[in-house]
Amino acid sequence: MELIERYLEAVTTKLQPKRRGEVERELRASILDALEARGLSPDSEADVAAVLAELGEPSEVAAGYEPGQQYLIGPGLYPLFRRVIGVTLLTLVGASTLWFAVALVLSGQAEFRAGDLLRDTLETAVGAAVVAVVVIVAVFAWLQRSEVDVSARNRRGEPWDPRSLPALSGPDRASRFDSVVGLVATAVALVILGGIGEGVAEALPGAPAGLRPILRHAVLQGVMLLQAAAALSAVAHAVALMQGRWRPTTRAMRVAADALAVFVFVRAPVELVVHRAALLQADLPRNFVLSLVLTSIVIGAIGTGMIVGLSVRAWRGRYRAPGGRAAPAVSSPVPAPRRSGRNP
Amino acid sequence: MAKTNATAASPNSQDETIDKLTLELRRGVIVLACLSQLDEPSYGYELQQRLAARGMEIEQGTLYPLLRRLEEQGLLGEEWIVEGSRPRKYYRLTDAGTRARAELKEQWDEMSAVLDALLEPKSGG
Repeated sequence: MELIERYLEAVTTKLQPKRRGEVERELRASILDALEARGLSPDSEADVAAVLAELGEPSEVAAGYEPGQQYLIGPGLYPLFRRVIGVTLLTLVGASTLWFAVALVLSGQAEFRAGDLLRDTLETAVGAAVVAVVVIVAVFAWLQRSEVDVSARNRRGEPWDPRSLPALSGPDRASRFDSVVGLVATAVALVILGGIGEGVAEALPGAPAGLRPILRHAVLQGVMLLQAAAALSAVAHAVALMQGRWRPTTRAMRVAADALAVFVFVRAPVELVVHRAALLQADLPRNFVLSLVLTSIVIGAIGTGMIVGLSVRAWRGRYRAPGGRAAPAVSSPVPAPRRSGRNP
Repeated sequence: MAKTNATAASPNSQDETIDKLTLELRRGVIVLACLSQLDEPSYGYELQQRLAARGMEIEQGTLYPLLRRLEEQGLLGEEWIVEGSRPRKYYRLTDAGTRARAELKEQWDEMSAVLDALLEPKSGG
């Protein structure tokens, strides 16, 4: 008898709770029927084992009772989901490392403990990772849901319109991977930027008088502009994702977001260079001011270079696509780092 | 690996393919087989035995979930009846089930006639 109960439990734990009781009663009755019909005993383990073996493996029997599989993220989307998660977390690790290095340089002037800084960085990184994973899962669950709705509508007899097919792979097509990574990178960028902005705003009153205008102009305003760029870019990606292709409006939004980010990346080091005299007068160590200027130039140059380079690439792909040579490069998975690089 | 095996078309994988195709072919047919026997109430094991005795072997692990799905779709009604020491769940066709069976039988007759003609060796020319 115990073997029967073990079997029933193995089947019913794989079922939705509302089905369990009924299925258990019915299966038990059927097993006892089979035993009785063959003159076998429920108390003999060998007899029971023979009947259960014929009935089949619990997972297979349970699968029969749950025909419509319910997915949060189905097999069709799962490979893409894994890619996006991987790229995002990798980007996050890279960004956190960069952030730690920059913070290490910037905090060289005051009393400073590397342990605290590391702890803060890890806290921010873990927080951002959680936000990123939640956003990715939510976006994919939404994609899954909308796809399920589409197929359900078709099944109900609405004629399928071939014109609803996605655009050919090419510069106009909004790749799902591209857009999802873009959305997630934007969310992470907003979190990180929010953290930086908050930190600077808190530090502002206590900062040396000579440093305050720089902090306010070069950093705080820069952070706010980057946040605006990130939000704009997120809206552009979300709309392009829904429309399936880049249209003039969404493309313009993307260009505006890019331009805004480039503006910040160029302006910050310029401001620092222009105000270096004030910085030096504010009792700040010479090598600290130097490293501050250098870091901002390097980060600004990297950010600007990535945005300009990738825009040029996309532009060339767009206008050379009919020739056929440039098109494959555009539809390749390369755009992934572009979004993550552009937004923060 | 499974894919390369399939393209290599070893005798083993060919057998597997045929098994799968047979399973798919049977899937729709066993619904009709069940509906054919449920004018009178019957419980799972009894139905399985009756079908087997008439040449339609359906594994219990396939039949029981199928009965429950048909019930959820409203084609079968169910009732628990206590006989002797224990209760049994009896299934029986509903009106919707009767209609579905008539419809499916018509489809089956048509399909089987068409396929007979298609599979006739000399009709290919």
